[in-house]
Amino acid sequence: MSGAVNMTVDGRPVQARGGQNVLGACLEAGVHVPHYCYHPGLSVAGNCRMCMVEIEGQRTPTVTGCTTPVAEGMAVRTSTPKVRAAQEAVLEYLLANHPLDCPVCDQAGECDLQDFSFRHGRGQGRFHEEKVVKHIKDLGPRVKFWGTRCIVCTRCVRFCQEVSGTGELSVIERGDHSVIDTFPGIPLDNELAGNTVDICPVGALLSSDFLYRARVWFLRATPTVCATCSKGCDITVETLEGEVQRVRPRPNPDVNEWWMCDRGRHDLDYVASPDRLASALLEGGASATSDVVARVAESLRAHAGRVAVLVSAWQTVEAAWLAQRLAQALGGRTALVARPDVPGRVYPRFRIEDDANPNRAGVERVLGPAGGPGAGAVLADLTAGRLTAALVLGGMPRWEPPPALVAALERARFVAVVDILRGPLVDLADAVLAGAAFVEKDGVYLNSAGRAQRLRRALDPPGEALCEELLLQRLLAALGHWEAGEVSAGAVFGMAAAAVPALAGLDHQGLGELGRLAGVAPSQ
Amino acid sequence: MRPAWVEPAASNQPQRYGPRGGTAHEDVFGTERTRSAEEVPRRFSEAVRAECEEICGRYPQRRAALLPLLRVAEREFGCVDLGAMRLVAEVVDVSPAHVWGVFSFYTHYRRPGTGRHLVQVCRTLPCELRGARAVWERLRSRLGVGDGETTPDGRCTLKRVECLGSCGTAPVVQVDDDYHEGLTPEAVDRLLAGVLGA
Repeated sequence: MSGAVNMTVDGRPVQARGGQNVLGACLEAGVHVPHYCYHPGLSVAGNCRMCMVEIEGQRTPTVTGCTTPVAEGMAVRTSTPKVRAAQEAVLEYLLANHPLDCPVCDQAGECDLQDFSFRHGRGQGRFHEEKVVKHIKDLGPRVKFWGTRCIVCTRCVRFCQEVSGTGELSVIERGDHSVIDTFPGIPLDNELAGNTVDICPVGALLSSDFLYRARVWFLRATPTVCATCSKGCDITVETLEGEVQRVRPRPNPDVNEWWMCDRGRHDLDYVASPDRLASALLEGGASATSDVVARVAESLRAHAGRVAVLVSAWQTVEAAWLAQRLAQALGGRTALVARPDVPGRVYPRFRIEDDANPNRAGVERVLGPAGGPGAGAVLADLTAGRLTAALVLGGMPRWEPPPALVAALERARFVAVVDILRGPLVDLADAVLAGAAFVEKDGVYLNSAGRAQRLRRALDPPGEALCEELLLQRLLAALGHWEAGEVSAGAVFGMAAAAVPALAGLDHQGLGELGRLAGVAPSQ
Repeated sequence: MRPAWVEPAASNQPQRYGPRGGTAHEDVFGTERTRSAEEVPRRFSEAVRAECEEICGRYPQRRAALLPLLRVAEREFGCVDLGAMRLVAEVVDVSPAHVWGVFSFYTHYRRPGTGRHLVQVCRTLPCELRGARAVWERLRSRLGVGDGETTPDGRCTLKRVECLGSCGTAPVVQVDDDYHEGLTPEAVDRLLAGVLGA
């Protein structure tokens, strides 16, 4: 089954893996073969008949590439007259009952029916009968279904059988009446349901959340990492007019394959919340950021030797390293604070982690064994008055600070908080600096497997808010401990990687699109 | 604000579509009738459970027993309804949606609301060539019901189905478990007077 197989695709030599199918080999070799039902993350169904290819020397005029295993010496042709005629015919059938309602369809612009019709279709339909009209309904709370547009490729059905293992979807009836449906009373409501919308090659499955929100060609896509749990799914955040419109997974074979969970998709409301901090605050009133930075630096200096620096597990590696530098400059102590676990879930081929923090691993590695993991000793010293001032780097949405932390900070004589949302800590702080949500900054997160992955800025922070690594550089500069001038997150990461053994050899550029395991030498 | 016109139709009611028309299909599969019947919890007796296990044991995988178990459910409950499908799903260890998909593929299971007699008229090509249309027209006009419909007295449900596998004796009509072969409109009259008591 395994081992290299030598074949040609359109006369070009291609090396495939044994056991692979012809379509997979063509796609991996960069040869475009149109297809609907085939998805590299799902079993092969062979039902859309779109991926026709011609194999030299075979009696069958054309075969489906997805169901044909590769063989040594095989010569595949992807664009012969026979192949093109087959593709045209298949597309004409697929469009026979299709309503062609592209102007009001969310899939328009990223639709394989549109794109393949453009590239491979015959341009005119000859279907003069009445169209069969199938149901339009909600399959579940987050997924809507247009049977009229469906080509019954069964990607969504196979996803629910194989990846989520929940089996809510099925094809009911048969022939041209075939339609996707749920069992009455059992809606499509698993936490991976949103993936069915992503893998639908046409406009049949659509997200209730994104419905009619934007034309997709106006969206600006930014590759980044999900912050909802410590799995660190690779995602694309799509924005328009300064708001997140849609979040979709980015394939990464080592982290999330092609998928993400619905928690991550729908976890971003807080970014545009009216409770977002848009300016620095001094004793509760809005103030210029520069004044507050100066005031915080001055106050922390006054408490030198008795300063606690609390770093949340939502801060980037860069911010954590600068916080560590700040603590060293002030003779202070660091501790990690994190959101409590939220029960995760294990599906047959996807796992949602319990740890509801995206960068616990990164912050722990930067702060070192002395700085974490528990904040207990630092809180005890704050409560006992041995530590008298605190700087809290929060930035954790939907977080209720534990009473012990609030009580300890209430005992401190000076508290500065860097945060993104109003909350109990902001209320009790003497000085507040407005930080950035994870979609508003560059940086690095380490997931629970120790994989370093890049966050990229998809939006600007609101108002006067700034990324934490900039605020910390300004604080360090005000304390006379920062000579570098204001530098980017990438430059800060370079310094951190040089100083922290667990990050040795890593840099922003080298992490690329898919990240790299920290503590492992670059691959040969 | 989203304009009102963009909301999709909330119901599954038939709707017109496109300049040349096109209508939602009539419920010839009985799917809507099955869906809209209130779900009644169903249970098999110990003896039937044992029969199910025996049937499952004939196949390498339990799910392979799905079709014969739907027959068992049909026999036990008089039709295959939602409760029966949920029960069979549990017995063969697949999702209820999977059973729903398999069940609705076939025309020969009795849906909820099926009359005392189920009259299935083959409409596939060999029967069509041998006069199935005339047979169908006679049945339809005599019973006064259309495809997938049941007579008001609940005696007969009439439907057109794909190949019944008896092309050599076309045209064929299946009444309950029996084939009636080589039919003509006159033979239909005799069939109606006899078995169907119409």
